[in-house]
Amino acid sequence: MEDKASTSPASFINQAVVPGDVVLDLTNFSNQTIKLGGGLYQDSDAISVMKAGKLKFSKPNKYWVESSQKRYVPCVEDHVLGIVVDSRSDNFLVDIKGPALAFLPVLAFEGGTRRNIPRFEAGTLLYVRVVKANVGMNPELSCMDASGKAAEFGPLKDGYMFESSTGLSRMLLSSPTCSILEALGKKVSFEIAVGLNGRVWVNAESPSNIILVSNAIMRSESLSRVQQQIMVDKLFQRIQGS
Amino acid sequence: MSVNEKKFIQTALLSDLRIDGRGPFDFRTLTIKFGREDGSSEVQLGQTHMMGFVTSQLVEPYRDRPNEGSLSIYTEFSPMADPSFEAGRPGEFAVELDRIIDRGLSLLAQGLNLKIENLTGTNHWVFSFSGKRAVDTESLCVLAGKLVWSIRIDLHILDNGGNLVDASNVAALTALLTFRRPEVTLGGDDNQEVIVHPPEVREPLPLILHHLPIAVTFAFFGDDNAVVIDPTHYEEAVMGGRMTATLNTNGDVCAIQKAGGDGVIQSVIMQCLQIASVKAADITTEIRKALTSSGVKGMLGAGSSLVPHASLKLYLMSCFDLSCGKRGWITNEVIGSCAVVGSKEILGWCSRLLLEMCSDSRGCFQQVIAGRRPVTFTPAAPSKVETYNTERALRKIKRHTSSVAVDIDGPGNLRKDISPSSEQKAIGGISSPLLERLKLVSEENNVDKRKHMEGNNFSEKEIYQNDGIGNSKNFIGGPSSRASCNETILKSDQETDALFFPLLVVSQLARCCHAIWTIRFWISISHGKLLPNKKSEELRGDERTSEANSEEPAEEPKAVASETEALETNMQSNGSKTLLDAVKPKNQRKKKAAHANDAR
Repeated sequence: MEDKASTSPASFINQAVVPGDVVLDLTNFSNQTIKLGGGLYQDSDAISVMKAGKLKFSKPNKYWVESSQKRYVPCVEDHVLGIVVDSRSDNFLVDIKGPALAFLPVLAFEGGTRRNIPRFEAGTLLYVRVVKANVGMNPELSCMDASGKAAEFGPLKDGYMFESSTGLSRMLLSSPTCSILEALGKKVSFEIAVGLNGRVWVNAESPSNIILVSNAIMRSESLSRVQQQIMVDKLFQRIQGS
Repeated sequence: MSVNEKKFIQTALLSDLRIDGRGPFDFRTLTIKFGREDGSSEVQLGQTHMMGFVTSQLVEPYRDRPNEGSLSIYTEFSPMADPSFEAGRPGEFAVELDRIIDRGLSLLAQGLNLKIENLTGTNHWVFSFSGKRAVDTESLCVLAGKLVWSIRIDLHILDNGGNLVDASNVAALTALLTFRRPEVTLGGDDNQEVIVHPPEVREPLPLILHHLPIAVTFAFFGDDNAVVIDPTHYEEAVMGGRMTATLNTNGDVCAIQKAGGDGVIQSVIMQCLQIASVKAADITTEIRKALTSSGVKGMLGAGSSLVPHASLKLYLMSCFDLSCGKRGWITNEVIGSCAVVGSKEILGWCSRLLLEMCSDSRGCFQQVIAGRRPVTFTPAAPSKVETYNTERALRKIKRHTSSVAVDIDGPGNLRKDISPSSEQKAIGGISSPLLERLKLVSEENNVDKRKHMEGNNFSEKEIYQNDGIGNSKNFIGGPSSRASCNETILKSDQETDALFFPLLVVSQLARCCHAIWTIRFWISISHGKLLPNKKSEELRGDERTSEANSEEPAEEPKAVASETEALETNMQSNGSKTLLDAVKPKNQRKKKAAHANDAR
């Protein structure tokens, strides 16, 4: 343990870490503010890991542990896909794959007043933003961005939604565009909505295209960039051949 | 489940597409793995993950079925499999699923169609089976009315990816196929004491399965009755109705279950059954592949039909167990027999099977298949089994052949020497000497046999009779008589023929039979001495010749007893011939010819 504490923190960045690893020694960081994200815990001068995953660093001073799970832990400012479960007088109950159902206030829509409350039936798929996410409380959602505009939030029509892990969602949302989406986009035209809670919505003209795209994405999670490209090429060769 | 998903699954099915890219009649990949223990299996059907465990226990039988063991199935819905499965009390869906699984698998437990007849008042049973039940429960009987084996199948659902019924069916079947139950012998004074042998002492026995019922589940969608096989849990959430058909590779429909849901027209059901039969064959080959590749000795025999081969063997084994108290070793002159219903292929299997059994160190068996007449199969415990070396040594000495050695020992197999005293004690204090005998009961091949036998010179005491039914009989004469007869030496080629005789019999029969046969195997093992002219003191108690005896079954026990004693007291030294000797080439033959010439 102490050996690890003495080594430079840079060696842990982008490395797999397990709970108990001490990744930062604050004695080296005097007069600097460090922001700790999920999975890290401060114990006086040592920063230790609480969650297994990869240690990430973003300039100037953000550290966090990233891991891929099937369950989602709500975080503020995440864009997620929710399914309406029930509607109440003042908010909708939406399932976002978290430990508790989230509330979506009926007025949290662009130009929303008491008169034009939208009607969502149970099972409606929504693209929403997490506004409040405190431990032990139901998260709160909104269909507007910070400035009050609709900005693509709201119900999604048609298409097909599948669930996978949070890691896949992050990979799909990474910039530059992940290679699977690029490769697929060159062959098929489709639209996609990715929620950070592991849900992905795909829409295309024909059902076969939708099935193709969704299955390709589902299989690409463990592949590297190059492998994803190869997989897509093989897939289309097979389809064109048959 | 979102509205988008539901709509999409249905629209895709209109164009015969499924969301995982399968065709409507494609099964997901089936992976079967086995655990280290006997009777444990792990099955993965796509995302659905199941484990099956089989255990056994000795219990009292049901009053109305005193001869049958029982099979019970328990399903456990682990909460990690599905959010709707709660720990402890099963929800409504879980209960319904449990019922469907149990009903489908209860085909495994249905009663065995076995008749046990006691012929002629001796310990002579005839087991005949017909009909198609999966697990043979009558073979699980230990003491009728008192103790039977109760087999318990536990299924654990680890992951619900849809189609739990099919996956649990495969898990249960594979677990049953790899399960081994401890061997049980009857001991004590009145054969009422039950001794359960631990697996280290005695090899445990597999269960007898007549066939494998494979369940195939269909899901129906929408008004146009779109049908898919092996639904995933998404499809199950959207489907309108479900139907499970259970079939086996023999083409029997074991069960069809449709519990509620959308109505389906009859032609669709017929189409489903046809598809299911194809799928059942596929799954059966998968199971077989998994069994062979994992090295687990399953019960699946060669050929397309599982029924006769494997189950026959186990019938025979079990009948030995029941009657003998020891695998292949009997304490009394017990005759067990079995009836096999089947085609000529089955005959071939039976002969192979019996050869296999002979090749175990249980003594020699000789099978004889009568035409349409039942041939009874008599296992008799050998008191001693000679090693090949001993026989060889004995052969070198000029012997007087008193009878035909008809050994079916399996080529190249050695009969091992087992000291009689220890064995007898182990058997349970049987003091009487054990006699091995070979009996040939053959009607059709009598002529052939006579041809073979004719060339042999038998001692006067040896009676080679043909009884009314055309069976030839051969008695082992008293040793004194043997000693006096110097002329009876079998020529090696004749011996060879004689040894091969049963095989020829079998093959001929196999060739000429067309219809369904009822065959009972009548096998007995006997020790006999073939090699002439050795002092009795040297070889007494060590060697016996195997003889070909044909006898009426009724007379057999008594005759056996008497001859046993006769033999025992006056045993001459004769070497026994094995199949190996028969195939042994020229040097022996020359010897024999030389001996024969000398003798004459």
